[in-house]
Amino acid sequence: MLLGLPVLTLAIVLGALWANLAWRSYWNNDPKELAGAATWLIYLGYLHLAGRRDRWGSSAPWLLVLGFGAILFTYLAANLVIPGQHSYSGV
Amino acid sequence: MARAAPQPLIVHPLDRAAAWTEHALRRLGDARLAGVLLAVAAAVNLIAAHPQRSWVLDTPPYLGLLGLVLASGIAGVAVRLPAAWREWRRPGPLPDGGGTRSLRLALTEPPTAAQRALVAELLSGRGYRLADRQLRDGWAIHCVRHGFSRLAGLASHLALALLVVGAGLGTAFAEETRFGLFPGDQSLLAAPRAGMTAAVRLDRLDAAFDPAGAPLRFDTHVTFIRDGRAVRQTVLQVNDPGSFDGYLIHAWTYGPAVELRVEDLAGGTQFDGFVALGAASTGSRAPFIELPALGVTLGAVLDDAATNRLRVIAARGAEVLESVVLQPGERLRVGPTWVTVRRFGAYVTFVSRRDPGMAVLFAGGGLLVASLALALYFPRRRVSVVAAGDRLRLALRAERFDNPSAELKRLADDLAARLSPASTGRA
Repeated sequence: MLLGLPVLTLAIVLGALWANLAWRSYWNNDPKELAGAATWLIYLGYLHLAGRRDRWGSSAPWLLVLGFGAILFTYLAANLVIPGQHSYSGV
Repeated sequence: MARAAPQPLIVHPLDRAAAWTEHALRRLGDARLAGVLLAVAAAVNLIAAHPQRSWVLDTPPYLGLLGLVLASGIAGVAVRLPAAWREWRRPGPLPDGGGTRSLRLALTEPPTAAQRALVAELLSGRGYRLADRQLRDGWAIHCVRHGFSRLAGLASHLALALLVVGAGLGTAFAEETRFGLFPGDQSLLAAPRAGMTAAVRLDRLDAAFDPAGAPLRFDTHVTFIRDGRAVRQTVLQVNDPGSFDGYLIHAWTYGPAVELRVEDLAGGTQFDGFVALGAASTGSRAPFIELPALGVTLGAVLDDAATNRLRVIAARGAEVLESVVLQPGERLRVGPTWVTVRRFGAYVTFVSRRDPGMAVLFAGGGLLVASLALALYFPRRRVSVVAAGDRLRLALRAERFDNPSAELKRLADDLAARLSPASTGRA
């Protein structure tokens, strides 16, 4: 979490900059981009709720479960099941 | 004696408005609201990842949600920034509860200024920023380490605002120009206007293909020109555009072209230049040569790519006059013209863009990554040491995800060694 969120943020920002060079647009609403953004948003949500000493804080770990699911979705489904600009030679 | 009834407090409308605004800001900047908004935005993005449902991203409710996320972030900064700044500049006392861990040490003698100096030296040596206070029966030292971390966390919210501003500037003021060039041609990088002299010239296109015909390389050699003078030569490649005078220049599409010379039957030159061959992506280029003086249109099509044979068709209105196949170097009569095929070449279509929001986006992206890294990798810790009477209270509070137990024990041991208390006890 502590290592991953800044690195994921860096990856998304660098990806957007690269897309601007290669595809003429920072953001293309590509399935991989949207799934990556969803993953990032889930962990940001967790960051806002974690550490609280109320029921919001005790529910926050569920966001980690969702976040892990989103990672799998981003890594696998957004290429193999839902093709997009990030699908290369069928992968 | 009868007591007077309390007079109702007269509140100025501006005070009421200020109180209401502060209340609204606190509600809007509440971390719980932010967490819910972010989770909902994440769910919408996951839904939109399905290609047939990406339309949800363009709906007013989603745009409103993004606006709320942004407003919540800015409100959070507005509410927390003054306290964060005060805490960093002059750390305050650390109350019990809310995750504070504390120890109490019994002092063998009343607290002294020398002890305060020792404790300040210890904490300062550990990287804490100090603020000490004289108490009636002792002293207090309040400190924070990595206090900038909280400011960095707030800065990450402002980074999102910068990203939105950058994207908005780009949407409102970006300009994009498309043009196709044959070798030797040049074009301005944007629509002609006063003072606009930045241009690009296509020198040549080097392309390579594998035996299956898949492209291996598209190297577009260009020269950038300003005020009519060549400034710089460069090579544009796929995914590697060039930049010149604030414009980003992409070599966007490619296609075959042929250089022709067309004469009338008396030998007068009617056309001498390149013609793009039959591709739909040539922009304004089309594989036709209009010859108004002769009332004829010539069409050109690649008849056989393997042997570089070109078919030239002469037509007058809807009537085809003649169709002839030529090879490079050949000169044949086609209808009322003589056509010479000089050589085959290639055209390139370019996209030239200028985005005034790009610098803001770069700044926002950099700030977002740096502030998140600072906030998460350097968690702040607050410490209060209060010596009053015969007791010394050591309190420590850490950020979420940060376990301060080891730090608390080290501090307690160091304090005990320096102050030599009679006994210690955990609160």
